[in-house]
Amino acid sequence: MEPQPAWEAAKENIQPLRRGRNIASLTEALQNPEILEEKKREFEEDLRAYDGEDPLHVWDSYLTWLEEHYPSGLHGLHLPQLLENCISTFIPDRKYDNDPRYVRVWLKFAGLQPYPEEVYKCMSARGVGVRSSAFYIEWAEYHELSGESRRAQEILEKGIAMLAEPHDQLKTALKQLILRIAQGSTRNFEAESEDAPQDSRNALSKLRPTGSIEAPNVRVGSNRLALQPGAVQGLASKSGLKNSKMAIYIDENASSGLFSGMGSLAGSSSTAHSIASNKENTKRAEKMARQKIPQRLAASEGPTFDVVQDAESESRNQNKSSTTIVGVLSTRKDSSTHMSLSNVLEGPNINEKRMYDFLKVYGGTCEFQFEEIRFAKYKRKMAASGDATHTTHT
Amino acid sequence: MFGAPSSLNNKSTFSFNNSFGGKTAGATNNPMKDFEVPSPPDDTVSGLAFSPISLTQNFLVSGSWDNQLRCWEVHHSGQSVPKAQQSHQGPVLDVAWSDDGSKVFSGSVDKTVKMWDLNSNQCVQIGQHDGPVKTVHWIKASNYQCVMTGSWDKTLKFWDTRSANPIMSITLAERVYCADVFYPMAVVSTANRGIFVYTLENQPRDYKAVESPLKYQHRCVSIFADKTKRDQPVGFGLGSIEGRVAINNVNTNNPKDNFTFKCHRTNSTNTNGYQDIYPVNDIAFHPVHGTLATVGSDGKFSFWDKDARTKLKTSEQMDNSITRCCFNARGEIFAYAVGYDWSKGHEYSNSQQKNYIFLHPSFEELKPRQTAKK
Repeated sequence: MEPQPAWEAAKENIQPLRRGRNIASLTEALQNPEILEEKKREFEEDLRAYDGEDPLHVWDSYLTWLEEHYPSGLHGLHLPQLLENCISTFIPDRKYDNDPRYVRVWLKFAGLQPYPEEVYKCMSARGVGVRSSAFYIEWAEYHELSGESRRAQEILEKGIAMLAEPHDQLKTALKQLILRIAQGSTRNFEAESEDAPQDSRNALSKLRPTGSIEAPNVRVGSNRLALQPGAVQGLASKSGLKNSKMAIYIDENASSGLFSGMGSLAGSSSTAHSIASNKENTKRAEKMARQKIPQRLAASEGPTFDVVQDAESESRNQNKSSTTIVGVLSTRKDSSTHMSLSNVLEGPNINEKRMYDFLKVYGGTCEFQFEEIRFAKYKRKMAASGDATHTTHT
Repeated sequence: MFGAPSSLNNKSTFSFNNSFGGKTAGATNNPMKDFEVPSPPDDTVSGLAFSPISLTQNFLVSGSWDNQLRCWEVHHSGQSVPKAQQSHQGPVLDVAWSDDGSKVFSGSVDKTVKMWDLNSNQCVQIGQHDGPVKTVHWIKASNYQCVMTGSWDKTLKFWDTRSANPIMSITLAERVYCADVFYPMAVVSTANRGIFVYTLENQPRDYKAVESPLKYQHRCVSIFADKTKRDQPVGFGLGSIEGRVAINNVNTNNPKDNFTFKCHRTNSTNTNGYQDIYPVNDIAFHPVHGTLATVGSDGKFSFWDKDARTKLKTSEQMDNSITRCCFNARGEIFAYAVGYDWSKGHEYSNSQQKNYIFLHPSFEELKPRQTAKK
């Protein structure tokens, strides 16, 4: 019987990778853990000492190497921080905006976020990856998995309109998506809600006021005032804004393509001025998640703009005095750790400016002191000029 | 002009003669009009130390990124004379004197620890690490004496100067970034803001790990003595890369004794609306007054009275960072080295820029405020 390969015994500790794993590096990682430290150090030094034409190459190969050589996952390595450092490093360098490697880093970062759409919108507004099919495919996939296949379709169509490369990939993805929608194999919530029996419980749907402070715990049948949340029935769900408290009037005649254009425009204008880095976005979201949004009595106030009125809204106005219970279904607080890391990365105070190269010190998975940064550079210079130990320094 | 004539200070025999001031270089390089040390190192100074109190003369030793160890004799006139030079195979990161002033120890990125006998001008290797040697200190105990070295190989080693093997080795979780020794106390700080205090009596032993009072990377540490018993170490000053120094008493019951203060920052927000923050590169305590000096990447040095919690003085700005500083054993001379500290990476390094070591009269200026008022 042949001896078992090293990975066979460690199989359950190996996280699968999307692109598959390289057997050679996997074996290396499992058999020589002490070499890993050394190699990692090399990469960390490279990050700080590289002075060539393509600094992203070092980051890219380091990230790939880390994934391949830490088969049980990168939990101890602060991957989100590392990706964020990489993103911040190249943000000023516009030549990388549509570099597939840079786009991959952004997408990987997005995948680790609680709200990846924030990152996607930021990328789109910044122009990062707007010519890369991978970006649109990943973004569409996110929406498809959240049950918004129509939005997913829009995004793929947008990618095709932007002439993202490779074009064929995008077209295939779109074709397959449409096929899935047609087969109903995608988790299409819009379709589900239309097909669902009328008497199902619906998030944020209006309940008949009971007069007491408690909300009725039976939220179907006669207790329910409206079938759909908001005033404009039917449209809210179609727009994909399933959980929005307020319905926005949408012209049914307008093409979905136009709407997607408007949506992305709105997204970009809100982020465009604070676009220096996406963490501004994520941070803002975090703050909101912690804070209580002052809730208005939904029943007592109509939208500030004119909407198409129908019979439902009149019945709503009659119930002005009723008490609506808020916070019954509060969102679960997100306790992800990388937010604190973003705080570290940001200045200690908005009015303070670091007069040293922060990303060189804290850039990789571990910190470096100035002498280490200089030594990394020195070592490479010595190696380039031949024998490191016998060269007299001039 | 200098404000430190020896006639006002009967403890000090060190005096500066203003006529030598004219010999210094242009005002932009030497804004404090201090005494310039001749034949300075060709690259950034990373180690700087004055001879111990056992020698009546003052000798200054530097280690630098040009692989060289240099020694000058500093005369009471303020003039200094190059005396000797030795070299490593790589940049030198730290230097230390033996207590009798006969030897100088040095650690280098070439991973070796060397001992330089100044009488015979012989330089021999006494230790070896697996990584660059970042800190070197001499320990003189009643029952032993040795050299303590801290390295990026995450170890602290103790060498008796005769054996090729260390008499003791302590493994740390992280790379050693800075250290100081003041018998019987040693303080070592590592990456990830670790601080470890050792007691050196009988043999080096763990004393305690201290939680960092700072938020960012530790850059320099220096032990200070008790206010009245000047031979008793009681705490340390710790500088960070983020313009802040922490004063930490090791055995205090009163949390108010420990505090941090901001330094090496622009005074107010500048025209861009930002306050600029610079790393603190070195801290030195005055051997007589117990006051301290800090030097930073902003190219300034500042004198502080930690007990009165006041600033005594801030210098003008040099044309480059100040990387290291030290007082002579009697506290009359403050030496500081001007050169690039690599805080902004290789993009800002300029091999054409000259490096300097300056000498500043310090006995009067570092007197605590109260006594100065009398």
